Amino acid sequence: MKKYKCIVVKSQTYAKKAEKVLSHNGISSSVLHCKAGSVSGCGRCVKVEEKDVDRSVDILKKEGVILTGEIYGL
Amino acid sequence: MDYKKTVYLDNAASSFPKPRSVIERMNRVLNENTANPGRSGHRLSLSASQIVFDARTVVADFFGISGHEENVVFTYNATYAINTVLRGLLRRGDHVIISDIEHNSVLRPLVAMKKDGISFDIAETFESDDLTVSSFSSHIRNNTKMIFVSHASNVSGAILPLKALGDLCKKNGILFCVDASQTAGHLPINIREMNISALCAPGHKSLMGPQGTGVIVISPELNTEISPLVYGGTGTDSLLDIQPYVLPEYLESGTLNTVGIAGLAEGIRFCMNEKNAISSKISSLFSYAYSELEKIPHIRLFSPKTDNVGIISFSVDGIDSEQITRFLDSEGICVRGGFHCSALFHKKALSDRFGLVRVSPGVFNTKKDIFTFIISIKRLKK
Repeated sequence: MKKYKCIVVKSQTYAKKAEKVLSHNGISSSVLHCKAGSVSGCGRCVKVEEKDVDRSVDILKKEGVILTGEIYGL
Repeated sequence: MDYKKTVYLDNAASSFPKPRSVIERMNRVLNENTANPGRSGHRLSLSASQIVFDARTVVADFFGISGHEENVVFTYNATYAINTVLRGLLRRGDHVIISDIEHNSVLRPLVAMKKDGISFDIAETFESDDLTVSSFSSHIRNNTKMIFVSHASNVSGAILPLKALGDLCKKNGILFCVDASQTAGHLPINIREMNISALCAPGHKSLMGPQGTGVIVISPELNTEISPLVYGGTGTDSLLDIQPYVLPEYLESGTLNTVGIAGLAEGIRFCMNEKNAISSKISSLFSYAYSELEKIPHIRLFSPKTDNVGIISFSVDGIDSEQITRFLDSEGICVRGGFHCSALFHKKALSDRFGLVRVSPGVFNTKKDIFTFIISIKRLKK
């Protein structure tokens, strides 16, 4: 069974941008609202397969997507 | 009223009609999804967010900052965008230089901001680009923070030398902010090549979108914070009592106009697809109207024949401009008289007594429309 992680980003726009740039790099992702208690309320994250997390973070940073630094498992 | 029987020549105020694709897109969004973008986590809200994000992509591509969707801020019109940029960037003690053709949407906020310790000078503009740039240069002081100009006059259509003014700002370390109300969609604008710090544009004029839309396109190189005009919900960090600093939401408190934004994106796609056709059509209609008006005695033209975005303003000796527009309206022709929210222009042109009649053809006008207008103007004089 595939395992997923959520990479928390700073805003809805960055979440959609993350989804776009990851797709351009062949990584499947989807935008979710963060779990309650994560960030300061109403956060956004992109869900990726656990195996893609490190590469995704590198790509997102390179593309200027602002991350909060938080990553959690689903 | 049968709109098909009118000749609409007031596109500088708002473009009409809109492309069919814009209407269809807005209808589709209105029918299929009016969930709140960027708020909830359900599928319809996320889908609405996608509509808004796609529109940011279109705007970013169109103005030369591809891949920087976060630098596209949606507003409700150009005035809102201009006020956000002026109030958001200027601080007590700052000095601004504007041109002598600015719309009241630039002049009035700056006059109001005098009480906040902001000062400004008005640079004279000339037919010669070199003289215009020199005029701006002569007003630069140690505390000059910004040059803010209209790309083109909303009264005469005269185009200002954006690239040269951008270079002047770059050389002097000054912010360069632009009101592209009359040019966005008609003339190419590249944020990076023109060294523009922030560009303000309405969606409903030559970008062919609906009213209630506007944009601020912020340079990715701008490293100065634009503080918000309006504070409130941004959809993230809801437990904080301070506005989270992350563009574009920082400047977009409140629910966005998703239907309008979808229409604006479709309007810009229309501009991209029809770029050459729009340019040649406006140019051809402008030249025809200008050459015919020139031949009519007692008409005085206040617009340049060249370097014009496609606007002609004129007076008829001794007749109030509003009287002329009323007559034209009775003939089914829609143009704008009066003072066009542009005190600076009319005072400079000495047209502040009777005002001017402004004719602004759009991409859907025909040569026959211009002919009809010219025949009516000739009849007016008789």
